[in-house]
Amino acid sequence: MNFSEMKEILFGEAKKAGLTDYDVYFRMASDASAEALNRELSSCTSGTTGGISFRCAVNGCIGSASTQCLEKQELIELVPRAIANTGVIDADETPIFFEGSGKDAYRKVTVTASELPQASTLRHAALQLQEQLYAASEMMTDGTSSGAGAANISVSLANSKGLDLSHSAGMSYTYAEAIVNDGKEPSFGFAFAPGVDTDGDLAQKATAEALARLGAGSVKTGSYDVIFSAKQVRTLLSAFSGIFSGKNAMLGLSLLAGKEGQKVASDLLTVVDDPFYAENTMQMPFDAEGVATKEKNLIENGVLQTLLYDLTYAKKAGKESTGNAARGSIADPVSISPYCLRIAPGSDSPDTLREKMGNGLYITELKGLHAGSNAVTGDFSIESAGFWVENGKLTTPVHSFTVAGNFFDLLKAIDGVANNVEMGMPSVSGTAAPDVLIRGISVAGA
Amino acid sequence: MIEKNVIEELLGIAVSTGADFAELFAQKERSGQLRFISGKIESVRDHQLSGVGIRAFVGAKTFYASTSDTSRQGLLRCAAAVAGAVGDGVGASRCMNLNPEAVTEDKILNYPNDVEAKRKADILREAADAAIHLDEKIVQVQGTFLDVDRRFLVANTEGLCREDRKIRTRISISAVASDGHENQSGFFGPGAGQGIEFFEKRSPRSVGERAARQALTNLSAVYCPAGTMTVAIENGFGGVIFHEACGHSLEATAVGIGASQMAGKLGQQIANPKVTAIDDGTIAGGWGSFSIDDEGNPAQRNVLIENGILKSYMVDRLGSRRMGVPMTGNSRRENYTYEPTSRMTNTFIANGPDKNEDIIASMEYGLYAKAMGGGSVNPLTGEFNFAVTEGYLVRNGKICEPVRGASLIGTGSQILQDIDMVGQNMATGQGMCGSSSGSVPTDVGQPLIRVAKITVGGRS
Repeated sequence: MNFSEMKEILFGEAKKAGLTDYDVYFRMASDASAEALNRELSSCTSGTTGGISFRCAVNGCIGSASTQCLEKQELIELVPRAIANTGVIDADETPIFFEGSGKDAYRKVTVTASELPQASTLRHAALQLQEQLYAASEMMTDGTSSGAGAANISVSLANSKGLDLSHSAGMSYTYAEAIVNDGKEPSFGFAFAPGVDTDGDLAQKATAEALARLGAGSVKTGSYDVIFSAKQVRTLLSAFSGIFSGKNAMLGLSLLAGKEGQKVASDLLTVVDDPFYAENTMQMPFDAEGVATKEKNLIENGVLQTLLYDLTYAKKAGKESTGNAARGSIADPVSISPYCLRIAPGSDSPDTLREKMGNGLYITELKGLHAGSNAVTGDFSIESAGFWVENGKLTTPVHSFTVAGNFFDLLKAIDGVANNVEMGMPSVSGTAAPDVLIRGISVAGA
Repeated sequence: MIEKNVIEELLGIAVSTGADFAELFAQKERSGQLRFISGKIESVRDHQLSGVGIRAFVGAKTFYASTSDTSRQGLLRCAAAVAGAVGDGVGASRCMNLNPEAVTEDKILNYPNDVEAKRKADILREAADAAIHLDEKIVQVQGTFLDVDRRFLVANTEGLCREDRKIRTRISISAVASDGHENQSGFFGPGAGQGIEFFEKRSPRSVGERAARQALTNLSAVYCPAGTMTVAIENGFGGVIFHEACGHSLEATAVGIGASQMAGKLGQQIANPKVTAIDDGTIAGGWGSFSIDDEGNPAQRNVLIENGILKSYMVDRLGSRRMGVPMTGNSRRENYTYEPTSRMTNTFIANGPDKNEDIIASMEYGLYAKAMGGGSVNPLTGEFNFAVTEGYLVRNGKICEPVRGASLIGTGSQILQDIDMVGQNMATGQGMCGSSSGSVPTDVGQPLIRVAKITVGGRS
């Protein structure tokens, strides 16, 4: 059954039940991957998952029900299930089903989805990378893995107000994880790249990282200047992305509440929410309520410009929706989420930024942020690893220490932003960031 | 769930191109979730998950395909995708006649799907209201009520054909306390492999109050000092230390490919002799329990470490092939879209010889970690971290002022030796564990323990 057939069944049932406000959200995802391990192909996977959700409003309450079983009888049952669920919701404001932003408001994405690569292409890439990894160092050892994969997603949204939108996006990637052992200890390095060709320096990058980490020393407890690598700035940005939610702000779960128009960060920081970031293949022209998406500055030169809103919380806050309604899966209710959250590049090269710091730590790894960071309070205390920077130059590796602080203080303590903006794995809600210098952060070590 | 002859046909296709083994996993799972925020039930999740995964082995190579399309055509496509990925060899193996067994199921008194959503909402409201009304400094309370009815069938070319049904129920409350300048939070989320009867023993009120108290404690807390110190870790979710520091490194997922600090150490003294650690998937009503694992093997009680000596790993079918040791009933996956792998179930440090009061009394200066958040580990190096969500400084054997924002880090091999006192109040706590086969419910547990020295990540 295709989307319009499913929509017809659900809309028909909705009308029969006397509903006037409802929507149908459909998502189909397909993926394929190949992985190699210890010089051999180790696994090949592929998958196709579809699902549909029906939402409706009864007496001012939204109910919903969803299923992955796309048979007619199952679809028919979705409608009474959703109606029954409205009965336990505490009525809030009248739910909003959106007419649409107007035909011309939906911007064209710059990258369109293509067919998934052939399984043989993925295998070849995984094995090529494996060869490159083992060729890159004699210290390469068991557990060294590599892989290639791709995923496509298509979403469709239609509602009782006549909205009918569809969009597809795709991504592909290769990765290499090097495990080296110098006879004393193992060490690892990881690198990934978009696309499935293996002509680049992915294996070399992963190997260089693993080798550089060998023989890591300890850090004495104290206060240090640090540079977070681009990858770790992304990690932090992602862990604290909830602070930009207009809903969280209204509910007392974000300390950015009421600060629109105020200075919340260093002049050097500009944070952009960008559904159309050119480096991200997973672009999104409309949100989970059908509102057209747009690029906007959240923080501009340190000043908070806007929070993110869906229709409901925009109305409550007396604002316009920013097109940031999201659904984590077809089963999830509408929430608020950024698209590609990116930090605008600064003027310094990464080398210049290290020179600017002089002495301190270059943090290349942050682990366990799901536990070690709290977006409500801003507090974090995170296991870290990286390198000493002495007189502006990277020297020896260090590990087994924590960096601790408060994210809101950190934003103000930024003293340098490099120009090396790096995009993470393509994703509808990805991140992109450069190296960032922070003065005076608490470190716990040996 | 799927007819026997259809399963045999699908498995036959999966091994037709040279695989030596194939397995089919079909799942139907109905799950519900109510969310509470700002004094209201805000949303309902009501989801039917449905799909099939088919896997084939060629030695230790695996080929996996999954689909939510369970029509005959969809299933045939899925089996063909596996066969196509295996290659163009000729099948020497075939599917044996399947021998379907009766569905295994726990004794559930009150199935969540038979209970009106309103009753679940009342339970959630009771917990949330208890948190809201505990103190006027509690400014926000969020809560969820979760129930899962997971049914699956697993069949393989060796003739195994088993079905299982598992019920899980969980409530969680997260409270925010504010003094007008700062926010602090508290969380409690107990659950069980039971139906709604779970709330007969666990009052919703107590859940809300515990979360709110933690938020209030943290609001009055100062930042935890940083450095290396002696730490006492309380029972229940405190057991996350073993889960992260050692448990993941004992999974065949890492051991089987040589990427674990614990590889090759069976029979060796890897922990203080006071440490005995067990993974037990058979505990009745346990959050991480099941009758059969996701490869169809019965759950087991596996002693991992006995008096400090490494006795066993946790091994799934692929790990068994790689390591040449028997499977241990630890194969798990979030759902049919994932290949299963070796995972923990209910994992805990057993009661030891020390009295709890002696443990605190023994500490001249250190940290008492009363409640823990989650953590993570790199099994290769054993480097782990986890968060302290409620902590107090200890001076001269007495628990003193609360401290916040601490995390604990170390390496598994070192920490196991440094656990030098083990108390006697073993209890478990519930969590969701993420790994390559998705997010699965696991229990962690321990009695109060003392770690002689560990790096405490706080503010210097």
